[in-house]
Amino acid sequence: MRKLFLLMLMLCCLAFSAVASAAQVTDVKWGVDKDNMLRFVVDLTDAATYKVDVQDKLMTLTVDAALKDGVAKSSKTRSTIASVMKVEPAGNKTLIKIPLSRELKADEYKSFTLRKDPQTKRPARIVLDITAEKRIAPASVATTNKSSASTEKAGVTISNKPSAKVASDTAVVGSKPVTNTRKKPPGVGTAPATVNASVSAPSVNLSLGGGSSEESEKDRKKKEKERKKAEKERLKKEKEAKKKAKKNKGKIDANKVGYLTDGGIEGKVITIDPGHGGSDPGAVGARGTLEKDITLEISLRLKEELEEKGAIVRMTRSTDKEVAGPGASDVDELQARINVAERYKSDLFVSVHINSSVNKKVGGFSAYYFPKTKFDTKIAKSIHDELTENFGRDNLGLREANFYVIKRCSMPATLLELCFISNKKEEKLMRGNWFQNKTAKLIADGIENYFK
Amino acid sequence: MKKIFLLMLLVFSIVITGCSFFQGEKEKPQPPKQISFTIYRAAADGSEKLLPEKFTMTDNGKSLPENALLALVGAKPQSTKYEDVIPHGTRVLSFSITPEGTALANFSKEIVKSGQGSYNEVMMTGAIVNTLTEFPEVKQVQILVEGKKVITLGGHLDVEDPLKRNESLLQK
Repeated sequence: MRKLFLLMLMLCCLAFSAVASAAQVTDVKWGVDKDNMLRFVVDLTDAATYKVDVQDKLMTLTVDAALKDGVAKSSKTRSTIASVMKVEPAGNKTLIKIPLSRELKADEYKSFTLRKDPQTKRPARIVLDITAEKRIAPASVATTNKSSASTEKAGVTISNKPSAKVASDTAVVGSKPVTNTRKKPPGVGTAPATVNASVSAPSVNLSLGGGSSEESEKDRKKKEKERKKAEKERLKKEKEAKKKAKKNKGKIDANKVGYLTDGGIEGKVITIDPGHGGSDPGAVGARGTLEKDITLEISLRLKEELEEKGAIVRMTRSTDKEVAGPGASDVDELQARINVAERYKSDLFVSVHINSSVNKKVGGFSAYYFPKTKFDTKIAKSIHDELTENFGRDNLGLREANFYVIKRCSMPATLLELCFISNKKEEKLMRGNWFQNKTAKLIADGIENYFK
Repeated sequence: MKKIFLLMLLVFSIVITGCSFFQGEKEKPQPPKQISFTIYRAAADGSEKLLPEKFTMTDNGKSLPENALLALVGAKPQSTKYEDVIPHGTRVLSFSITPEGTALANFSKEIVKSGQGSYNEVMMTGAIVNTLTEFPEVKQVQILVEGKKVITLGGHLDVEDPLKRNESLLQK
């Protein structure tokens, strides 16, 4: 009898786990951000595959997971592109149908998945963004950030430096629609063949320049001269190709595992996180200066400095907005910033903040690290040394602290507090170009030193 | 004469011991036992460091770590060189130490306050954790708000897991 009971118990457990392992849709949410982007988020018990179809004016998101009881079957949205969404169970699948007010182009929507996060207890998710009716960012931001509007939405920023020679290559990457971020980040694996060709071609020419035994002394000398000339040309071309490759490196290795910490800054992926944004202004100064504005300004300048040094830069935000979308909790917002760094397999994560205190006397720079790897301390120190040395400050602000964003990301990270908005003198200073440019340059130098 | 002397000595000694016996019974608990400990507070000079503050009080039967935490949260700094970084109105709801050495410090909801710089958050958690880990029985500190774990108090620091002592905040 007892054995039978145990057997039954075991069977029950097995049956339960079998049911549990199949993913289920537990919720479907939507939201419209202030730029009028419509986002759908499908909560899942486990990761599941999905596909997005658009036929005429009907968009269907098919998720390979059964619909759990109790999920709302229909809901109205506030978007101008879609006014309603319907959730329908279809056997082991769930269909989310969104009738559209007009037909969509391929680059007007995108989808990606988010992994389950046991630490924040957030489920696996599928995210579908419809950006068709999205308003373009304000002009003042557009001039400082040259990336195209479509890539911008995904937090993707790709260097589009005006250079006649490489313009065509970068344009291909820059204009690639971000449709399938769940498989690979945009631009991955599209290394331009032109770089390789221009490197190998001169060496082929060179082999033709060898002399034969029947040549006269004069001829040989002439050929020697030519060969030297060819060699010189080859070196020159190689140098040019290298330069070109440097500018072309907007791509992240898809097979990359872990992060890189040495070998020079060139090609390293660095995610910059301008603190706060959107509805969260961060700290506010006596003159009304908002932390979110200063962090963004310095971060955009830092991005340019780093790209000049050959790094690949990703931004958690490049406009005044929340990273997780409006209405997200503090924790969701922090996690969204880490997600950007993880998505692009960043080698380094740098969070830029402005400090504040009730004590108006407090001032200066601090660089925080969480010693999850030995490189966390190294990067914080490298940047902090650069800042304090050049601003003529003491370097006592290098400190350990368990900031969420630098603790929970997998790569080395630092959080910088660039002076105090609560300090009158510093508030005035940080509003000016001189301070913003200088800090950006010094941070970039510190990062360069770190990768040396 | 000798007898009288002995008698007087006897009476005297009885009086003395009697007195002291009498006194001992009534006044022994009277001289209050003082306890003292160190708490850490933010330096008011803006050096972004934690300074030790010597705190002396009458023994109330509570453990030293608990008294230290209560003093940090409830008592005003004794000198202007310290700054109070715990939000106004915050109370300690409960305090205990697990056998593994994790102090469970349970605060009222006033301690959660966003919209300020990370400076206060760093100094506040640093002050709490370093004050408590000053005692050898406390290895780490779990901050709770109304009995529950929270991920962040002010939107910067991650306080979901127990926190270890942070030497980098102390004045060297």
